[in-house]
Amino acid sequence: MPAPSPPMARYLSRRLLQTAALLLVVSVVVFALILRAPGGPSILLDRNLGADEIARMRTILGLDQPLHVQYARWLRQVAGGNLGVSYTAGLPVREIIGQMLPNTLVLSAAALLLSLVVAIPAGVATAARPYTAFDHAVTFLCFFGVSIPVFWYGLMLIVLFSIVLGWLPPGGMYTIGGPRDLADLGRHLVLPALVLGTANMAIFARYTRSSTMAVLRQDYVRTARSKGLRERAVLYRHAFRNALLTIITVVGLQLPRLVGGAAITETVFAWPGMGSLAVRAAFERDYPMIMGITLVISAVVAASNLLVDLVYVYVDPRIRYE
Amino acid sequence: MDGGRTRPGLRAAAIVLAGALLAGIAGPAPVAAQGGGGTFTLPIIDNARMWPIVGGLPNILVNKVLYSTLVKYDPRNWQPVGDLAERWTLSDDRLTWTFALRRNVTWHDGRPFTARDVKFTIERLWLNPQVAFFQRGNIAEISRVDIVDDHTVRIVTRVPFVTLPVMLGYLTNILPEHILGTYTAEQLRNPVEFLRNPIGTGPFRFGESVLGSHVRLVAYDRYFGGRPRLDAIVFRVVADLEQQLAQLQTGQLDLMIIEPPQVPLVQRMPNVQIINAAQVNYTFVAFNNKVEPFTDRKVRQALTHAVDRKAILDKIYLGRGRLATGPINPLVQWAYTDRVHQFPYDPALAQKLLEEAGWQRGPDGIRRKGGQPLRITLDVDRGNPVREQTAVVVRQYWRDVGVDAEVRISEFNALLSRIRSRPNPLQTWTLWYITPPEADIMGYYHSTGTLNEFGYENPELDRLLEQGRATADPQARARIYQQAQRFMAWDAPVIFLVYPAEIQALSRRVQNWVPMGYRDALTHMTGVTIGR
Repeated sequence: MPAPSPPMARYLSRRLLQTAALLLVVSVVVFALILRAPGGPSILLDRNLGADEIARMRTILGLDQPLHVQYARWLRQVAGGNLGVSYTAGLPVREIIGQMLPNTLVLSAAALLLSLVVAIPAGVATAARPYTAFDHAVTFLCFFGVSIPVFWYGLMLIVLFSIVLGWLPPGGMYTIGGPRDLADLGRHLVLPALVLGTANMAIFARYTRSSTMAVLRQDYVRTARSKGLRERAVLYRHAFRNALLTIITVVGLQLPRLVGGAAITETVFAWPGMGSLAVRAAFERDYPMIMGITLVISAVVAASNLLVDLVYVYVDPRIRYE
Repeated sequence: MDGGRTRPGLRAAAIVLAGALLAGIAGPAPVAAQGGGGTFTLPIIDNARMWPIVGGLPNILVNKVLYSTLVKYDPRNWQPVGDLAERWTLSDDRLTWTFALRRNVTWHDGRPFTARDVKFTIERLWLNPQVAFFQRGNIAEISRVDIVDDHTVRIVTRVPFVTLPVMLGYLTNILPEHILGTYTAEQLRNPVEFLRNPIGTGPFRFGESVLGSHVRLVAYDRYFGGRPRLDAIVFRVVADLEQQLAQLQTGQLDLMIIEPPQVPLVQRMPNVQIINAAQVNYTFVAFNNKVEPFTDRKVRQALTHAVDRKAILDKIYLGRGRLATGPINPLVQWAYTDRVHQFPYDPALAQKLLEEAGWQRGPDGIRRKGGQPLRITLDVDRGNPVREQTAVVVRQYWRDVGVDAEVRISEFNALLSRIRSRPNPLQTWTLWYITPPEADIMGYYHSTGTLNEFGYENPELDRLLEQGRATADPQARARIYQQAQRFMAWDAPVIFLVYPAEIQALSRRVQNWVPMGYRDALTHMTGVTIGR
């Protein structure tokens, strides 16, 4: 990446300002939505909790205040670097997210890596031989991968690999009481990474195929071929390099989903990450937790969009900071 | 311990190996004859807070083994027996209880447990309006606690409250004064530092908590009841039921609670047995007794006769339970009676009662009174198969007798907050209650009861329940509650459906498990062992 130049610094500061404004808007909308959703925090809805005690706890939690007062209090807290305390776990939200985020990143990175390693060669190869039997087979697999419901796919893998074959653990991240080493992590990672990676694998393969095919029709590819370059060099050095721009965009769009959006996969595999945390927080109306997760994920979305824009400049010299 | 080098191989081998790994046994060495060692693993659906002042099932379950209560329940008859307390007596004016505390109890940090801890927990936590104890309704009659000496406390109540010992065993854990005594009200509401390393007096002390993954409690060597035979209890965070089933089958979980639809699946797991465990509970279809037409006893009786509760027990609960006759569970043996008005399935009688109440069938088959159709919405929470099926079946039974009945399904959270709002906007709903093992049902059916979601108000029952709470003589008490049960059965404030068993899927490796509902079984863990 080039060293920050004055136009880049200007561009960056403008984008960061926009991001801050965006996060503020998102937080207002989410705050209003979750506090107006029917039901209340599940710690207030214990079957043994009477109306008086509920009222008392609402007062203690500040839930009897008008919405804008509650929001202002939350915002003041956040400005001080404090995301509040989770109703359910009783620990600071920042600490909980701090423990969950790395777990999700491990899973997401493994899934992303897996999908790219499979998808890019498959996409380039099918682009080189379009409309052959091989291409049709890969296309079929891609549609299969995109269409298969994640929870069902996950359960089928658990049944096959954990219950019938007994090769892999059905869920969790480490063997409890075990050594917490890479081998143990790897065994727990295989199934969820495969499930999470499959849909992306299919998407990436299709995009790689179509953008590589588009490039292969360009004049400079014909020139490269007529120079007598080997087909492999044409494909990877000339065509694929130019097709990469589309792929980066698509991968960039998936990044935020990989940080926050693995809710189903994480729940099915009891993976201790952001997605399953968000699902439980939503069911339990753990307001501080939901707000904290929203803020972090929104920040990641904004950051990854910014990152993609910066990478464009690096990959394609025709694009400049404006 | 070896973390996991399971090679591809036979399923049985994998299960044995997984079991060995979990049990914390290095290598395949056989377990010593008298038990010794092993880890018992059960699921929780979210992180446990380990703070017994607030509710939530994950929190409640972990607290059962981490902390102690003054009393707990005898598995044979559900009567209160000593836990931290050794014995207790009631004064003649029935207002002062003297509890003799065990002398050999230490907190997990080694400090001695004393009367100061009891006084602190009751006065500064349970009764403190700035803290909001979730079981406060059960102990609100306590006015103060006096320390007699290090091992004796006097608990004084405002009014005679003979159920106190039972209530002191129900989700009322004692907390350490020597740590929390200096906390401010704000810190007691959010004791973040304490929760990083919670200190209790239970048979298992805090080991580690990995958020989103598990809480591991390890045997406390100096536990006053003797060191538990297990080495550890692990509560795994597994929100998804299918994942729980998979972990049960592969031996990573030793226990899970299942619903009737899962019974056939679990029956096919060779490593798992099914136990119908007793729990003090009942399920019901509630009427909102404050609104028409449920203010009319004839209508309530008719809607009860219209429902084939036996069929519901047999088909939906798969027979795992007992037909309910009232709000007092048969496990409360001294008080329970089934010699009350019965409501056999009798649609003809139901129709007759509705007609007597003035609800006549219109040309469309729907009953009307004063031009108003008999339209009833039955609310149920989403996701529990037994309750959802019950709601659908009850709707059909009611339609059969001319009611324009509908089912509305909503999220549990939303449903309960509607029921708890005043006035309660619902007509009928189906839910359950798990109660202390007591006949005292004032909280649920007295006109001032904090959990009286039924809007039920009856001066006669109020009088009986007040009498029952103030009567110390066991035989006289039993007579009062038998009268209350007869009265309630006839008055039909709700349709009492079933006393359901808690269906436990328990690993066959587990020995000496006490067959109570798991909330209470967890207070009897010291003898439990894990075999091979």
